[in-house]
Amino acid sequence: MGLSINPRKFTGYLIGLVVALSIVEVGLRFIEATPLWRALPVIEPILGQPDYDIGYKFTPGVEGTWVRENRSKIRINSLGLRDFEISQKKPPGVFRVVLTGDSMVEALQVDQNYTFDNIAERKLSQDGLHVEIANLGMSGNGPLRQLVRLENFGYPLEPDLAILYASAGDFLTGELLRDVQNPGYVATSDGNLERGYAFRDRWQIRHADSFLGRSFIALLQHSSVFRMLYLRSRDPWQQVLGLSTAHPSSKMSPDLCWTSMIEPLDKLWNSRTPDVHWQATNRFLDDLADSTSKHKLPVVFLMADIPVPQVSCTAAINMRQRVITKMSKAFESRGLKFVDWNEALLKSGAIRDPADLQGLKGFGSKGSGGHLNYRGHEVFATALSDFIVRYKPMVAPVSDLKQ
Amino acid sequence: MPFNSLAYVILVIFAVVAARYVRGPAWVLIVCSVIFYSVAGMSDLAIFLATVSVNWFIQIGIASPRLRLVIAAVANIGLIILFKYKSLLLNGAPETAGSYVDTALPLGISFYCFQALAYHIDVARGQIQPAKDFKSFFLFKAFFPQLVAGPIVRAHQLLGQVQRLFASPLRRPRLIVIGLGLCALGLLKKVILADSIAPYADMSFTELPTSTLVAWVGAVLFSFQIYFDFSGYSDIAIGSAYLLGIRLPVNFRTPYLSCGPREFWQRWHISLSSWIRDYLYVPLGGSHGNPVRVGLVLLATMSIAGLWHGANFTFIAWGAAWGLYILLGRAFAGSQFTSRWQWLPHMAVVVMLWVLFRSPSLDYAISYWKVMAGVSLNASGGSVTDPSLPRDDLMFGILSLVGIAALFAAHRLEARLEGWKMLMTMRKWNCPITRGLLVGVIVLLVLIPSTYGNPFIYFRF
Repeated sequence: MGLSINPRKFTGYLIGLVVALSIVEVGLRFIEATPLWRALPVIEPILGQPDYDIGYKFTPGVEGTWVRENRSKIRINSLGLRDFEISQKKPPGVFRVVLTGDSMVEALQVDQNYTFDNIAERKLSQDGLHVEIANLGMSGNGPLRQLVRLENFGYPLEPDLAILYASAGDFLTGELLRDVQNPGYVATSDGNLERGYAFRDRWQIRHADSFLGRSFIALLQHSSVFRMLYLRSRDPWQQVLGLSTAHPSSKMSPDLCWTSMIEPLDKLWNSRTPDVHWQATNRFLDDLADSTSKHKLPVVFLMADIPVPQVSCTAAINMRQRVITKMSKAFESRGLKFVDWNEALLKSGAIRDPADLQGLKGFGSKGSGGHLNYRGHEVFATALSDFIVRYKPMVAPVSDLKQ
Repeated sequence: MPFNSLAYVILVIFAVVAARYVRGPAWVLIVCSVIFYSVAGMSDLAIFLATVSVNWFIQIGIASPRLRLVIAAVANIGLIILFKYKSLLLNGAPETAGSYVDTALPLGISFYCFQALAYHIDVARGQIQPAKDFKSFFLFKAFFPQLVAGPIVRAHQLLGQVQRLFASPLRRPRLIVIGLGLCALGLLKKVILADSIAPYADMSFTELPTSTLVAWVGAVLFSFQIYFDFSGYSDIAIGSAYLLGIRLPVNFRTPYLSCGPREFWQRWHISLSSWIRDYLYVPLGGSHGNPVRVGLVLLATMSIAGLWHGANFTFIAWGAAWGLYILLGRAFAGSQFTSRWQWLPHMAVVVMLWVLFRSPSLDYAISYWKVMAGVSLNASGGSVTDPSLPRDDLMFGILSLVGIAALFAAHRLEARLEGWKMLMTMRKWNCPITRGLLVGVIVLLVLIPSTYGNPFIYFRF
């Protein structure tokens, strides 16, 4: 018995397959265009595209439905920011803040109206202050990527203040030293660190502007089925086959003093080890200070995720304080304002207990963890608006700030 | 191996093609069945292989039919008790308190042990001829589409078909589109409906609902989640078996269109309810005689049916409550219990009973019922709610009603799909274009990324 292909049958199967693709495409688009997007399957948008200068940037005008953790409608504005439309030229009488950060600031898990920068804007407006906060957040953006984004997208907005939001752990992950996807620091022959652009050799970057590259990106952004197939092709093969089982996360014994998280920070900022990370951190701070001082832009660095130990953990509290003092000194000596963000959240009064910080992340019945939930954005907004109110008089006369 | 995975689709395609083009189609199915089950883990596979072997040796090694039956019952029920109820019996509490699905169980143990027991009873009663050889018995037990979550196929339904596969080539199904159509329908129910409902239903059973309306909506959503999940699974099982030339019995007949408790159980998990009827209810004297005894037998058998689902008092209570409801139905309504106007109150009872099934504990179920009845409300609930969702009860009520009406409409539509007319239409459309279309839809449905990661609920019962 041999396998023989009947051309008529083969053509029939092929037509059927094309019809199936069309039906699923129409179905997915229908779901997205109706209130069914809140529950039924939709394919996440691909919000950006490769970029020769900075590695990756948002594509203006792209919109879609985010589905991980919590569903929300998202849109990239015409300036390439995950924000409402704003004009590039700063309107008169407006105090403009550019806020850079990672996925916490990008906040794809909530609708645009409920991101903490927008809530803070509304709170400040209620106080009679005309402050505009442009959201430059992007997933995976550590300190250096934020600086690059500030240089490319922030400065043209003529901001009065730049706020960078980064996790303290970002200085330890080696992100500053990786240039395969975005600019990163690489060692030169004389031992100094300079920005490297190895990502420019990547196939995606080299072909991004070719006809094929543009067609591919257009297909990704406009066809749900194509996007689904592309996203699936990037998953590990066990996941594509549907064989990976979701194991409940192993429950670690609670470290109420957070020593395991604070210790590495203490090593970096006090003992200056590992040396390579310490060098990169210093290089970044110099870079940030140089770049922003050239534009006469005041900078505030919100250092997030430095855990707050319980009152009984005296040693951990002391270690934390030591870290904060060193961090603050490193920033302030370069003319950069440093803020311990967890402390700022507690001081804002929106939460009372350090343990409540955990409740600001995670959605629904899946428990805490992940990104900021709606309450988290409210609390962040309160702390941010409080900070801006306190900070603004330092950079502009109060009379100028009133509407 | 989950049915809604690309691996399963590839396995079925491989089995269909290989079984057609090799001399021993039954051996292909045996190999595929072992591959299918080995994905669950080697320990699960070892337990399954040991169970099949023990059951085979019981059949060939013990001459006395009565003794054979006793030993088979002890072995199979003992195995279920060992893995499923040990903690409940020893500690008086389920091992996985707080969860209504026991994730530590060997995959499909309740199904294959009940199937083995039914086999021995049927042989002892003389209703079927015992399997001719181990390979036939093995494939009867291991045939992968029905292995882990049923239908609980009886020997008279499957053994003959399996034995034929060892003697003759695979019979080519005349209407391939029926098999493909059932698989596509099952995936649609699972991927599009059940998994989409799941997060909302789960929310209701993680934290007590904040209002009567929310409680009812949550309970109705779970009712549909479990139906679409389990019946979707059964559709895929029947459809893929059909593609392999094997007919499996229907397990669901649109149960939410029933108008009374008896009718419901004639439409819901039919293979389990008929198992309970034939091997427990009737032999214990539930079909005739003293009404008190009949009532007690009914309560006992329904409680056992509940207990079959897992080692939790909520399942026993769920089964017992169903027994009580059936008794009440008999006592007060008699044959009138099937009239159309009784559909709504009957559905309300069904939904309320699902609360018992889904709740992590009896206390939670009672608290949930109180919210449903408007007796108490969870004022502190809804800590992290989506502010973009409608806030006022009227808008929420309208949206919920529309959603629930759509679910019932889908259920009604399903009843039409199962009709004779549909079969005739499928016959007309049994061409390469339709086949290509259905294969395409199946592949795309399994590729839709799961954002919730829900396994089939009945995989772990």
